[in-house]
Amino acid sequence: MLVRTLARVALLAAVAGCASVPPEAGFPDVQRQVADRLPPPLAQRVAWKRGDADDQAAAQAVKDLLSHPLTADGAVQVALLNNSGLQATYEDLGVAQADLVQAGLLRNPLLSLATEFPTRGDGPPKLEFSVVANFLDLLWIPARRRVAAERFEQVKLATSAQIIDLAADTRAAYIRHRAALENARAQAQATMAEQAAYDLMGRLAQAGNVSERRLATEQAALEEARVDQAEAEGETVATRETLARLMGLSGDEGAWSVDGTLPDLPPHEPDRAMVETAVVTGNLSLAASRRAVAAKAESLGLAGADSLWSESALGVGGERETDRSLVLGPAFQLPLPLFDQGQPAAAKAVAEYRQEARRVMQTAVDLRSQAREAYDRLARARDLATRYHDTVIPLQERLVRLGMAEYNFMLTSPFEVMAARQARITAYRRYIAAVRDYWLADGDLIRLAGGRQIPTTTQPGGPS
Amino acid sequence: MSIWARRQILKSAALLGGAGALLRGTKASAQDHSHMDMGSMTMAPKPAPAKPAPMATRMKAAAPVTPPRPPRLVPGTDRPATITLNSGTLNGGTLPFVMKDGVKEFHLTAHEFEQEFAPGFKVKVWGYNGSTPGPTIEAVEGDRVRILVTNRLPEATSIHWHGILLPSGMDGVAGLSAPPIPPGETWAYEFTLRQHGTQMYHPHYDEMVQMAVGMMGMFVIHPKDAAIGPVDRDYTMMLHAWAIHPGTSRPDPAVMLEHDTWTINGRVFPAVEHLVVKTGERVRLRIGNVSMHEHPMHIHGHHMWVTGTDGGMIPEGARWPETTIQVPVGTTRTVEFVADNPGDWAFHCHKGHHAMNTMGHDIPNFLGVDQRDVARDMAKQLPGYMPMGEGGMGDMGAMAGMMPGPANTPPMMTGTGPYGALDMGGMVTVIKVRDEVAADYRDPGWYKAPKGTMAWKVG
Ligand SMILES: [Cu+2]
Repeated sequence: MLVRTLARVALLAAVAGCASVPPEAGFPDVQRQVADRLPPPLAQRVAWKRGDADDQAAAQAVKDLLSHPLTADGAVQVALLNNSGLQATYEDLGVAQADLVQAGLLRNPLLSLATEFPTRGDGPPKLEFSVVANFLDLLWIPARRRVAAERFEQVKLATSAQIIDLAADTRAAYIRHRAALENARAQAQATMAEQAAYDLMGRLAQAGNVSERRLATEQAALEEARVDQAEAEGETVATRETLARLMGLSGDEGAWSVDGTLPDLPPHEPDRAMVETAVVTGNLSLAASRRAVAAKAESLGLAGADSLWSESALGVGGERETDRSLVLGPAFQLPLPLFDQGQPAAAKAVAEYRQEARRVMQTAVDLRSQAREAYDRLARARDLATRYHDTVIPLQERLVRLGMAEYNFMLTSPFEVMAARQARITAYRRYIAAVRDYWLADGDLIRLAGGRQIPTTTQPGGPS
Repeated sequence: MSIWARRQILKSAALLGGAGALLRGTKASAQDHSHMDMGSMTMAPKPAPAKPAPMATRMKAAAPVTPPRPPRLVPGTDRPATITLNSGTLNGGTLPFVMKDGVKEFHLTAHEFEQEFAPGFKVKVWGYNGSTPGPTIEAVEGDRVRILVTNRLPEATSIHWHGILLPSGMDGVAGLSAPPIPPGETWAYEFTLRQHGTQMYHPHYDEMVQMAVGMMGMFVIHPKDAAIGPVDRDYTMMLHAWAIHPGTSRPDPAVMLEHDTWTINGRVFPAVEHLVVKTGERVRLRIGNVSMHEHPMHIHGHHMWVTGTDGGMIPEGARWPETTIQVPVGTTRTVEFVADNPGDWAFHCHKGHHAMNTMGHDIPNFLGVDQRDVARDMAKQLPGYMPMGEGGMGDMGAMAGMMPGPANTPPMMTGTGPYGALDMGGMVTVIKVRDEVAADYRDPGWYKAPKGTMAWKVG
């Protein structure tokens, strides 16, 4: 009777602890977390491909995006739907969720049976049996569940952080690729200009008006331009492949292209005063680390007791004697804290907690510093881009115009004017590099702030 | 009196300012001048005795006027006799004077100002009384002259009276003849003219710089005997070479040979005034040169006789005919011709590059270079690129107006005549000989060749 009762109790307890593992494994939470951390149209399109009908929609969305020249947002969208590395990360959610469920379960009761056969006679064997359960689990389960829940939250945050990172990486790769294309175009112009100058010098040489040396000098300049152009074209391929990897494109989607030109600088700069606050409050890795500390804190109280009492058990035991009489009584098992009184385990937990806490502090220090550095890069890139855009390029254009005015009056050589033209192309290439660096720094800041835009100042350009 | 003439006088009065008042010993009054009838200038009217300093008033007014020209030289008077080209728009022409105790007192103020060498081509120069060359000083053999020189330059200066026989202490070689004139001071040079002829004046302190930026002028001494060498038209002109780099507005005194701007009386063709002459008139050209280059000045349609140098007149039997008169550095040459050939005749320096404006020396030689296709590729990089010079530079004159050039730079070749682009610049002018000229010798326009006297197309 008692066995049945005990079994029933144990079963009930087990059922109470055993919820089925939900298939979405916290992914909706992740989607909520990143909802305001990705540009609006993208937030809807974070999908976990698990072999259902939704996968088809995601694949179609990727296909649609790739059929048109990609915008930066489009490239990010493709990466979020198509990057298998990110999909693999989502499985961490399943693992953590299972752990959480596990933490809520009572440890299974232990049944022990022993049979002793008489050495003489043919009496029935003596049976010893016991069913014991770790009754103290009932006390630890809530704490253990809290630890696992923290761990689950931590994994969700880490997953969100991976999403934000992938979005940022993809955006940066897009910017690099676009800049490389623009740079290659400008370099092609430079080569065309050198070619025209060389051809003109060739005609002068044909007419017998310039020396072979003068022509060869012009040819050397042309060859140099060609080398530079080849390098610039190589850069477009390299940056394209980086972007393709992040978008998870395997090669048969090879016909994609990117759209438009490098975006102009925005009128407003992130507010320098807000940068560090935004990063410390918005960064998801930091949030995940904070959760880790919280989890450690939860487990602090658990550690000593857990190591000390995990072997304690309570149950019922009995014997069937050889005379078939049954004796039954409670069984109790308790480790004697003679040698290990739980201090080492507690000390270990405390050390781990402190370690985790220190790591969070270091992470915060690093993030603040990275934020300042990214902001500085941003401000410098804006200064540089603005100077090229507002001053240097117009100046070089003016030099070409002034040179042409002198050429028109036969006061200067067209080759000198062409040199000014080349200087203008060089200035434009530097401008492109500065705009690229601006957007890269801007992307770094957003990534550090966990995907959130940093509030802007009202002053264009901001302090620098 | 035209509004134009009045404005010129007002301008010249303003330019002279205190100097004008000093000259006359009275306050400068524009109204006084406006009463004057320009047409009466040649008649040298006796002014009303009630007017203060009548002579100065008359002389003053003579300076800025282009037309009319004196129809006949009247030597031995105090009236200006020569025609200084381009004097019309500046305070150039002949320098006025006042008589003081029997001395003709002139006043030159050395200063910096801007002169338009051609419309839109403005040059920051140093000169005298608002012009370079400075106003022509005219006097008569035997005169005692006193020339006050006020220095408004940023450095000292002096005036050397080139070719004039005078006491050593008046010769103007700073440090040798007398101390230089410091900025802000006025010094007097005084001497008696013992000669007649065509002389010059220029600084002899830092003369390399001061002459490079325009400090010079003509000094004409008429013979006491009016019967000596009378002519109908008597022109003075100073030739000069400047280094005004394209797009700049100040002459570069450091340039010794690579000058790029060539002027007659501070103008480049086609802004150089034309010489208007009536058929049969005897014309005298007094040409001075203190530039660093000699200038072979060539006349078309006439032969001219060399009648004098800054060393004096050449005896009649020793004169020789020329069509090109070499005007060496640091001399004057006086030539005469009888304008017996009606038409428009070029008068110019025969050095090709002196008869044009600025041209770059470091440009490729495009002669014979076929730029087809290449020019198109060049134009893709350099908007407006046009090939030039393949068949020579003759098209530059026509192109000058079509394409933008550098600021403050005259086109290399420019000017338009009755039959198209003139393709010249620099030291070029035109002598217009006509059977009929207006009383004021105003520009008669282009010559119309009588039927059968102009080149015609054969094939
Ligand atoms: Cu010459």
